Parts: sequence; structure tokens; C-alpha cells
Amino acid sequence: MSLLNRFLPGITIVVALLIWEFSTRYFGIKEFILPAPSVVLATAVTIAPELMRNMWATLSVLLVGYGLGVVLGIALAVLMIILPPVRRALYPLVVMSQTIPKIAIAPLLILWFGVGPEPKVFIIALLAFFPVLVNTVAGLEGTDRGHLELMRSVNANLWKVYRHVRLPAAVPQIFAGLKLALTVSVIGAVVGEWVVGNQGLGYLLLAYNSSLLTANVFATLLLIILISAVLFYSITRIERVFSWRARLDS
Amino acid sequence: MTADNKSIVGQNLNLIYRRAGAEPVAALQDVSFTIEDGQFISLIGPSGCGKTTLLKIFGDLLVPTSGQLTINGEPPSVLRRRQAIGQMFQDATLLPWKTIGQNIALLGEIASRKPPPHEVAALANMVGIGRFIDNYPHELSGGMRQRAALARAYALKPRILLMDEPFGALDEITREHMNDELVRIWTKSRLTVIFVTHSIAEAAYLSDRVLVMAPRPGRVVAEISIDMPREQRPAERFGPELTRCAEEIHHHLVTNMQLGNENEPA
Ligand SMILES: Nc1ncnc2c1ncn2[C@@H]1O[C@H](COP(=O)(O)OP(=O)(O)OP(=O)(O)O)[C@@H](O)[C@H]1O
Ligand SMILES: [Mg+2]
Repeated sequence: MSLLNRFLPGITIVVALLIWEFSTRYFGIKEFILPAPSVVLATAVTIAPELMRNMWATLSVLLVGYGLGVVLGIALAVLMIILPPVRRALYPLVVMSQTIPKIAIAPLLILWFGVGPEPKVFIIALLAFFPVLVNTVAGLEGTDRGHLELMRSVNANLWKVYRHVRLPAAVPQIFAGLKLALTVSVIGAVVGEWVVGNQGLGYLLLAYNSSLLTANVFATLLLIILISAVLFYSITRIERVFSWRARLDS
Repeated sequence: MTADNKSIVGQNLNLIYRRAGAEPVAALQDVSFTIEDGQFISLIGPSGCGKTTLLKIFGDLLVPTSGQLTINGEPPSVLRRRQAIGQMFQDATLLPWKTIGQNIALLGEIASRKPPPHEVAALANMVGIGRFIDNYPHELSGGMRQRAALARAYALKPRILLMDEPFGALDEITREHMNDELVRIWTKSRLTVIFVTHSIAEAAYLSDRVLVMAPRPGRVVAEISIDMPREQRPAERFGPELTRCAEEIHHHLVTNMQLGNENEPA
């Protein structure tokens, strides 16, 4: 049973791929409309060098932007909890800033940062920042009152309260934020490359699409999905080391 | 002020819980007492009579609305800042991300007198959870967690130990064992212990003095001294003298009980 549970997602994917493969053949769907999975795979192999080259471009802006967003998000969250006035001053602004469609300000960003990787990094950081901030604030605020009283009973200073209680208590929520931020960062990277620059998987998607190289589009999408999955899995592994909640559930 | 220097004095302590949009709750009204430092004091009374509230005033986690409490002439805040108050809360409040051993060492660590591993092990053994030192709190039973919290409070080596129903989740025999260990530690270190309990027998057995409380509003209605020498108590646990004390406590509780019904308007 647990073995079945374990392989269930894999089985779903295989079944879906098979249906896709056979229906494209059975209905004779044209390749530039919907290529069969086997065609996509073959194409991926042929264009692999091009994909790899552009993957590094995407990965580098993705990781730098994501890292920046995460660090800023956690730092500002801690600051907001330590200094309530900071929170009162900034939190509404931060929330409002989220209603700005970030991709729509891309032209502005190009104006400010040029057409290099900077505007993309900026957009990704902006997208990653918010879920990390909100989840970290919620995590730090959700500290058990009994635990805080325990710290108070021995007059623990701010640093010790954070080190022993507040940060560990917030870790599960911080990781929830990190995962959410990762998915939006990937979207940000791809869409950012649509708007700015002449390399990266997002740029490639657009270029292939306009040449009706649909199999190439699918191969690129496949790689993007793969990248997300690997990054997501890495975070889960890190979480297992750092998060007591994950350890408790496993 | 010489009397003050050897005693714990509560003078007209009042505590009112206020919250916007809710009726203020008078949790303590005019609570006064004088107890000798170094004594074993029990607080007993029906649920909701303000025992936890009073204990938190002792621990400087709550500041009385009026009145004052002094411990050897000093307010509780001074002792708290000196990290001389060990607290055991009604629920164990262990940190789920630390092992039992790390939890036991925690308060001492924060007070910059981290107990060495052999001491942590000895304390864990003393409360009967030595095998679980590397386990996490969720792997222990409720009673074991309480005992870990007890070990954690001991490890701080406090001057005053505040205990809120520490043995409530234990079976009778383990509880007796914990009682004897507590008395042993108390005798050795001359701590002051303030001990909240719902068990009349436990209060009579452990205490030098029992403060009986009544609810609505929370107040101290009787102070009972238990003079039987410590050495005789284990053999006389069910003997006539402790039974007489228990009856006296029982009497005071029952006489003030009619006010204990939370459903009745005050
Ligand atoms: N934070 C609070 N805000 C408002 N009222 C409170 C608060 N804490 C306690 N009270 C009220 O104060 C009264 C005394 O509560 P307290 O916790 O001191 O009782 P207790 O004697 O410890 O009861 P128990 O034996 O059930 O633990 C109760 O009526 C309770 O409802
Ligand atoms: Mg209580």
C-alpha cells in the first residue's frame, strides 16, 4: 500500500503521457499543434546544447533573485517583529505593492537597470520577497505564549529568545514561504526573459513559439518543469534537516 | 525591615484582567500573607480561583494591579532578572525542536550556568526519564514531559521554585516518588517552593504551610501550618496528624465552595 502511495504520482504521469502519445497518433494531430511525447523527447535530445546554454542563464538570474528575495524577506520580517513601529510603517505599503503587476513594470525596470540580467533579478526578488516575508512574520508571531513566558522567567535576552524559541518555532512556516516563493520565482524568471534580453529559457520559448517549433517549445517547458522539481526537492531536503515539524511528521 | 529580609510578604494584592470588549475579571482580591523564606508553601483551591495568577505574580510574569509582593525585601522582578526563579508551568512547555536533554539544560544555559551533560543525565535519571534524554518531547507521555520540565527547573538551581500543578498527570505511585524527590532537593538546597496543587493529601504531605484559596473573587481564606517534622512524614503519610491537617484543608475548601460554580453570576 505504502509502495503504491509512493509510486502513485509516477504512475499518473506515465498514464497521462501514454494517453497523450496515443491520442496524437490516433487523431493524427499535426506536430506544430501538439507534438507527441516521443517527438518532444527526441527534439530535446537534438537541441540539448542550446537548452543547456540557456538554462545556465535562467538558473543564474533565478537563484540570485530568489536568494535576494529570501534574505530580504526574512530580514524585514525579523525587523518588523522586533520593532513594531517598522511594521506599522511598512506592512501596509508592502501589501499594497503586491497589487502592482510586476511584469507590467518591466519597461520601467529596463529604463532603470538596462537590458542585462539586473531587471530580471529584480523582478524575481520582488516576487520571492513577499511570500517569504508574510510567512516569516506569521511564523514569528505564532510563537507559543507559554514558550515566551518560559524565556521571560529567566530574563532571556532578545537574541536568546530568537535563537532558542522564535526562529525554530517559525522554521516550518518559513519553509512554506520558501516553497511558495520558489514557484513564483520560476514564473518570474521565464516571464522576465520574455520581456528583457536575448537569452534564457523564457526567451527561447518565445523564439521557438514564433517559429512554430512546437516540439522545441515543449522540450523547453519540460526542462523548466525539471528545474523547478529539482529545486523544490532540494528545499524539501534542507527542510528535513532544519525543520522539527518535518522531522516530527516523518 | 529585618522581618522582611527573611520572608515573603504579600500585601493587599489585587489583580484584574482587563481586555477591551470584555468584562474585567477580578482574579485576585486583597490577597495578603507572610511566609517564611525557605519554606515549602502550597496553594490549593478550586479551579479558577487564581492560583496560576498568584504564581505568575511570584514569578514577575504578571504585575499586580495594586498591592505589592516582596521576597526577602525585594520585588520579584529583581529575582527574575537575577535568574533566580525556576518556573514550572501548568503544561510542560518543552520546546518540541530540542531533545529532552537539551530541554533540561535550556534554562541553565540561558542563565549562563549550563549544566554539564553528566548533571543533565543525573537529573533525568532522578525524575525517571533517563532513557529518553535523546528523544524529542512528542515521543514522551504527558507525565514524562512534566517530569522533564521538573528536571529543567531543578537544573536552573533557582532560589525560588514555582510549580503549577507539576504532578497532575502522574499516577499515584510515581507522584509519591516525585514528592519525595522534591522534598529531598528542597531540604538539600533550602529553596523556597511555591507549589500549586489540587490534591489535599499532597498539600498536607509536602508543605510547611498551605494557603487555601477561594474563587470569585480569588482570595486566600485560610493559612494552615503543618508542623510535623519532615523525617516522620514518609512513615506517617496516612497517619492521624497528616489526616487531621488534610481534614482542616478540606473543611476550608468546602465552606468556601458554593462560590466555585463558574455558571453562577457573581
Ligand atoms: N489572561 C487572562 N485574561 C482574562 N482572564 C483570565 C486570564 N487568565 C486567567 N483569567 C481568569 O482569572 C481567573 C483565575 O485564573 P487562574 O488561571 O489563576 O486560575 P487557577 O486557580 O490557576 O485555575 P486552575 O486550577 O483551573 O488552573 C479565572 O476566572 C480565569 O478565567
Ligand atoms: Mg492554574
